Amino acid sequence: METLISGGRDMAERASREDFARWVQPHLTVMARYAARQVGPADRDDVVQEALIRAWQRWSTYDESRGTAAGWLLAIVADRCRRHRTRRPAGQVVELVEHAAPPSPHDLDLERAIAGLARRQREAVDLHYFVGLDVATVAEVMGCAPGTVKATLHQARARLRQLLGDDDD
Amino acid sequence: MTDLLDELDERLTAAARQWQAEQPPAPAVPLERLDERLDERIDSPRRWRAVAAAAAAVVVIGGVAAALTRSPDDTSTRPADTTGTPTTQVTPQENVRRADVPWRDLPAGHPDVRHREHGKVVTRFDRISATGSISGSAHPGDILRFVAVLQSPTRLVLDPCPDFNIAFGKSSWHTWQLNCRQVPYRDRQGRPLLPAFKDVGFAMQMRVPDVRGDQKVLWTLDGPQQMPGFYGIVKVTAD
Repeated sequence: METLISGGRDMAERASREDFARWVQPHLTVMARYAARQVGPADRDDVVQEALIRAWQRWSTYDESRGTAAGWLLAIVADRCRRHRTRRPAGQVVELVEHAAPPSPHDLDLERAIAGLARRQREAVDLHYFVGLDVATVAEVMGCAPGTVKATLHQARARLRQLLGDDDD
Repeated sequence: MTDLLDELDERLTAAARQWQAEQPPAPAVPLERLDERLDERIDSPRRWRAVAAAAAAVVVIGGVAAALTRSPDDTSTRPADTTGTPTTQVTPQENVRRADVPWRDLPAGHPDVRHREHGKVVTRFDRISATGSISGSAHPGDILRFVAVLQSPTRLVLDPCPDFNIAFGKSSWHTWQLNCRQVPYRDRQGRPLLPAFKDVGFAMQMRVPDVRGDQKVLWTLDGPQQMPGFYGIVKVTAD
């Protein structure tokens, strides 16, 4: 799991761009991973940079007593992903992958099964496994209790087992 | 049951680690753009781009809209030349986006733009997005015109000037150099550039080859591993 570092309003009050860059640096990886899971690799960097611009402009509103920096930043990423999906016309851009190594059948099966999960289950799986967040931070991003995240992950794994054909029933 | 779920947990963990290892480095903090007004800068242009892409559609001969020029005597697949002598008119293009950069029939330069960073092949043009719309029907020999709209998330100097490809169905594939010389944006050294988040439209054209039926017409920027591009279907019918 990622090491999460919190910043704060004190820093924001004497903010400079460099301060912000240093503050956000430990979280760039999880932001990029989350964006990649949400909008795909082609649009990942656009979404992350939009989220960083938004985060800078709202940095003064961040209060570390109300949540971690990672949770706050990932919530902004989630918002930018939603905006990105709604404004992008489907089928307008084709990104051709040349010489890309095809995923192994194992990965492909799992990715297809994950795509078949309910939205909240998929989000929990993405955040916990692929983004690499602990349950508490996943709960913060999803706006629910840690226990709810654990239950959602349990349900997601059970559903994945069905979708992958491992169910003995 | 519990054992099976534990196995699935391990499988998810392994797949996630593999996926994480394959991810490119996260983008840097865009220090120079942090004060930009996000909703106007990004949302509006993209809405415009969507409209522009739709409006850039190159359509049909036969009286409807148009950016197709008949030249039935020549059924070759060579690129259309603006100095040629089309035998029929170019109909009004009010529904076609006005290109920022005119078409020029420039031979491919095949610039060496690829290099390795952190073990991966990258180019300066990897983050360019390309949009456009191609649709309609045509006859062999018509000239297909459309606009390729390029956008870069960063200010990008077009030096070297990249090539692009247009594939028409399975029978025709051509590569040209982008008309960088007539890009209306320059750096202090006079080199052409794509401003950050600015749509720049490049006029494109190509003679419809001697094929029949629904043909996939594909435009791609040459060079990046993930070639930004777009495609459409053109129905080619006999005279």
